[in-house]
Amino acid sequence: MITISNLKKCFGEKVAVNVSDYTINQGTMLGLVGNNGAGKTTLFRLILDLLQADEGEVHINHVNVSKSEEWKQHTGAFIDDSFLIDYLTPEEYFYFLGRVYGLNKEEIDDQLAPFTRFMNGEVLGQKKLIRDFSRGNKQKVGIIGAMLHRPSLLILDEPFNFLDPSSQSVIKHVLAEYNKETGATILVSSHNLNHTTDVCNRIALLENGIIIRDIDNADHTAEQELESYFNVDFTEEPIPTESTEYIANTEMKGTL
Amino acid sequence: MISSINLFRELRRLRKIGGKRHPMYDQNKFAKYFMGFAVALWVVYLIMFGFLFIGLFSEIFPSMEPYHMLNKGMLYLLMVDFLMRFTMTKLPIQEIKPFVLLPVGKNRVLRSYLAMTGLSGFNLIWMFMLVPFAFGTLFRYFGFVGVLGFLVGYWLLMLANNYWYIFCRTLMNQHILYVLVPIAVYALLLAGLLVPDTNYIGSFCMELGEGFFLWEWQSYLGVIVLVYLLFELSHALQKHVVYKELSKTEVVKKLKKVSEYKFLDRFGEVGEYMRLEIKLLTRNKVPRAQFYMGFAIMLMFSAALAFTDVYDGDFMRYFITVYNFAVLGVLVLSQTMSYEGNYLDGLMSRKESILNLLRAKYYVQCALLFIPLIIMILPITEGKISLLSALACFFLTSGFTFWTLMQLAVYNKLTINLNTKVTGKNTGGTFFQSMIIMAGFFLPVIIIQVFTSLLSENTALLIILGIGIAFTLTHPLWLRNIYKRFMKRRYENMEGFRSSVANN
Repeated sequence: MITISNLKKCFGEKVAVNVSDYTINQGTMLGLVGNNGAGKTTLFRLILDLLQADEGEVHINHVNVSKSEEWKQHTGAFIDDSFLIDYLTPEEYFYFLGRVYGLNKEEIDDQLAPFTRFMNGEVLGQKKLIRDFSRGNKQKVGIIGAMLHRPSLLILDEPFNFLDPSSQSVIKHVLAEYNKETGATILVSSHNLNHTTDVCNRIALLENGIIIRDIDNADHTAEQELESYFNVDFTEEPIPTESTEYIANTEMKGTL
Repeated sequence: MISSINLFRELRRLRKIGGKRHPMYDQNKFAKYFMGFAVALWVVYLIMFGFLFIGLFSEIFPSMEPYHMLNKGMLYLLMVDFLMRFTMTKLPIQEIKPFVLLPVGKNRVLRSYLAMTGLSGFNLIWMFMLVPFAFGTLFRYFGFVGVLGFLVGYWLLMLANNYWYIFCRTLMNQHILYVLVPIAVYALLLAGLLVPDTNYIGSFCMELGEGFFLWEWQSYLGVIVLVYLLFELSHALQKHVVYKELSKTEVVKKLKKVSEYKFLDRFGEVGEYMRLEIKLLTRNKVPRAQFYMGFAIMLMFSAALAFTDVYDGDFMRYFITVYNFAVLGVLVLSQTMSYEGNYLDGLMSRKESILNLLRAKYYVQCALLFIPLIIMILPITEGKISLLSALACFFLTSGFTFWTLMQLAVYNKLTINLNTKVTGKNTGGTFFQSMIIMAGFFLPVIIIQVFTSLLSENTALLIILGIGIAFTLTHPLWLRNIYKRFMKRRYENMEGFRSSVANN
C-alpha cells in the first residue's frame, strides 16, 4: 500500500507536485495520465525517494521512503535510461540485478521465461552492450529488469514508449497477468489513453501537479471521461496567456 | 536567402553564445577560472620564451642574427602549433548538423565555419612570443614597419597551418591510418632540414621570413596562395565527408567474448559490484584511457627512478614511489560516483547498493595496487628504494590515500560521460576535487618526510606501514561512514548528476 500525505515539490516557482492525501491499495493497477509537465515523472521520483519533497511524506507499506530502505527490497521501477547500466549486455544486466536481489542463475532464467515473447528474439543472445541497442529494445531491458525479482510494487514511467505495436500489446498482457498472479501494485504513466484504460483499474488524472480526478476504471468506462478532458475544442477562442498577448501585440507592430 | 556575410555573422554569434554556455562552465565556475588561469600562465610562458630566444640565439649562433635563426626554425614552430591544435580546434564538419535542413546551403555553412577558424584567436597565440622577440631583434634595424611585416607574415603562416590541421584532422577522423599523412609530410621536411650540407628547406624558410620583414610581395603572395589552397583543400574534403559525418552511425562491434569473472561469485553481492567495477573500467573509453595513462606514467617513472639519477634525492624518491602507487587510484577514485551518475537512479532504487558499490571500488583498487608493487621491483633491485619503503607506500595508499580520495564519493555530483573524448565536455573538475587529489598525492609524501626527518628511515617507514595497515584494516568503518554521509546528501547529489547527464 502506498500512502501519500501532503506531498509537495516545487522547482523554483513552479509547483510540480501537490498531492494532499492519496492512498493506493495493494493490488491496484493505477494509470497516471496528464499532459506534458503535469508532474507524473516527478511524482514517481518522489515515491521512489529519488527526489526530496519540499513538504509531506510517502509511505510504502507504512515505511517512510525517505527514512528507511526496507521498501526497496520489494519494489521494482523503470523510469528512464538512467536505470540501465549500458556497458553490460542484457544478460549481464539481468544476472546482476537478479543476484543483487538474492536470486541464483536458475531462478533468474525462470523469471526471464515469461518475457520470451516480449523480447522477440532481439534482446538475449545478441552479444551487444545495452548502449548499442535501439531505444525500443533498451525499453524492454528496463521493464524486464524492473520485474525480474517479482516486486510487490512496480512503477513504470511511460512503458509503451518506443515499443512497436506488438510489443505494446504483449506488455499490456504481461502486466495484467502479473497483477493477477501476484497481487502486485502497479503504477504506470502513459500518454496513450487506450493502453492505460485497457490495463489499469484506476486512473489518476494529474494537472499542474494536482490529482484532479481519481477515476474507477473497473468497468473500463474511464476512456470517455479522459477523452473529453484531453480533446481540445478548436472552435472556442483560446484563453489569452501572457505569451499569447505578447505575440498578438508584437504582430500588430511593424510595417506591412 | 540569407547573404553569406549575414550567415557568417549569425554563425559566429551562435558560436560565441555556445562558448559562454558550455556545460562545463555552467556547472563548474572553478573550471572556468582555472582555464583562464591556465591560459594566462601560457601567455606568460610565451612572452618569457620570446625574450629567452633573443639571448639564446645570440649566444649559440653569434655569427647570425636571432631573427634569421628563428626563421630557419620556422617549421619546428609550425609543427608544435600543429600538435597543439589537437586539443583546441573543433572541426567545422562537427558543427554543421543543426543547419543542414535550413535553406542556407551546407557549403556556405562549411565555408563560414572554415573562415571562422581563420579568425580564431588561437592563430594569434604565438604573437605573445613573436612580438617581444621581434621588438628585441628586428626593431633596431627595420623599425616598426619591419616588425609589423614579420608579425603579419607569421600570422599568415599560422593561418595556413590552421587549414592544414583541419585537412589532416578530417582525414584522421575517417581512419586513424591517415595520421601517416602529416607524419610523412613532416618527416620529409625534417629530413630536408636536418640532412647536413643540403639544408635547402632551412635556407628557404630563412628567405621567406626575411621577405616578411622586408615586405617582399613574393613572400606574402606565396603564403597567401598557400592559405587559399589549403582552405579549398579542407573545404573540398569536408564537403566529401559531410554525409558520412551527418549519419555518423558507428558499426556496432559484437563482443567476441563476454568475461564472467566467475572467481568473484564467492564474494556475494560485493563480488557482483566488483564485477561491475571491472567492466566499467574495461568497457568504457574514459576510464580505460585513464588506466592506460596511469600505467604508462607508472612505468615511465619507475624506469626513470631505477635507471637514472634524476630522482635520486630523498623527497623525489618518496614522491615517485607514492605517486606510482597512488596514480591509478587517483585517476579512478577521484571520479567516484561521477561515473555512476550515468545510472545512479537505478542503483539508488536498490537497498544498500551504494555501500556495496563503494566496497567493490575499494577492493578493486586495492587489487590494482599489486601492479605498481610489481613494477617497483625495478628500482628495488637497483637499490634506489627499499622493499620496506615500497610496502609502506603500498599500505599507506590502500589505507590513508584511498580513505582521502573516497571522501569525494560524498561530494561529487557531476556525471562524467563514460565514452566521450578527453577534449569533450568532461574536462575540468571542481575545486574541492582538485584539493582532495592534491592531498592524496602530497599528504603521504609530507607524512613520510616528517617521520624520516625525526626518526631513522627504517623506524619511520615501519610507523608509516603501521598507519597504512591501520587505515586499511578499518576500511569497513570509514566506508560505512562515507556511505551514510552520501545518503544524507543524496538528493542534492542526484539532482546534480541528473542535470549534468542532460548536458552531456
